[in-house]
Amino acid sequence: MKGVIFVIFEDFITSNFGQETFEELLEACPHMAKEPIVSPKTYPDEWMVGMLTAACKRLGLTPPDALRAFGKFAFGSLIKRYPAFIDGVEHPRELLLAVHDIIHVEVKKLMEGATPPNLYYEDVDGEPDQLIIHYESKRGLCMLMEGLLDGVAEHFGVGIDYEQTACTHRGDPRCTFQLQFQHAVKA
Amino acid sequence: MDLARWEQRLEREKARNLELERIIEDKTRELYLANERLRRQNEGLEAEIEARTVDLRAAF
Repeated sequence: MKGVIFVIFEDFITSNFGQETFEELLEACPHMAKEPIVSPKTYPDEWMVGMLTAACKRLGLTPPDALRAFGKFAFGSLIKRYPAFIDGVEHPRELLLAVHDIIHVEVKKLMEGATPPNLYYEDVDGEPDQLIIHYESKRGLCMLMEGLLDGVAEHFGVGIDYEQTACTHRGDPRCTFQLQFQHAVKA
Repeated sequence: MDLARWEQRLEREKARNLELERIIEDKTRELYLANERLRRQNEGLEAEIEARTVDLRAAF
């Protein structure tokens, strides 16, 4: 997992729960305490799992709730770091459709060794305010994706109702999100 | 937060800065070497064009 996600996770903890909480979490994650974590480098996924587990234990959160909250926070941080990705984008649907073929392609150029999830899209016939997104990742972080969708909705001021109709955690081959945008997509 | 933890934080930030500086230096070196390689290739190609032009002129 890229360092930028670890750095944003640190911001998420320190902004919401204070610096001391993060220092306490580091004590439970000795690898992360020793290694200077920087955005462009890649670190083992297990380090993030360890950090999340420690955060859930310390803060009394369930992993899905923690991932959703982190995802929502992470979207705001990502667009501050990479504002070009939302330049000229007016509706969340437009942004979401650009994630796989544009944004993730750019991420791979900027960050050597990045392995973002694969996203596949499906339109719903006659329903421009709906969208189906299939999420595939060996990391199985669909809850993070839910939080990112919350962040996207908040940023654009357009509510997104979503339902996970399939999920690898329930034995499905991939995760599927059915989205309904609350404000009309401009023609 | 106690002083020991702030010191720990400061040490981490210093290590992070050093790591970032190292990455920037590595990438700068990579860019320089890639540019040098391109420049040499370009010079080689120009020399080849020059030689072929001379050959062509001689042939006519």
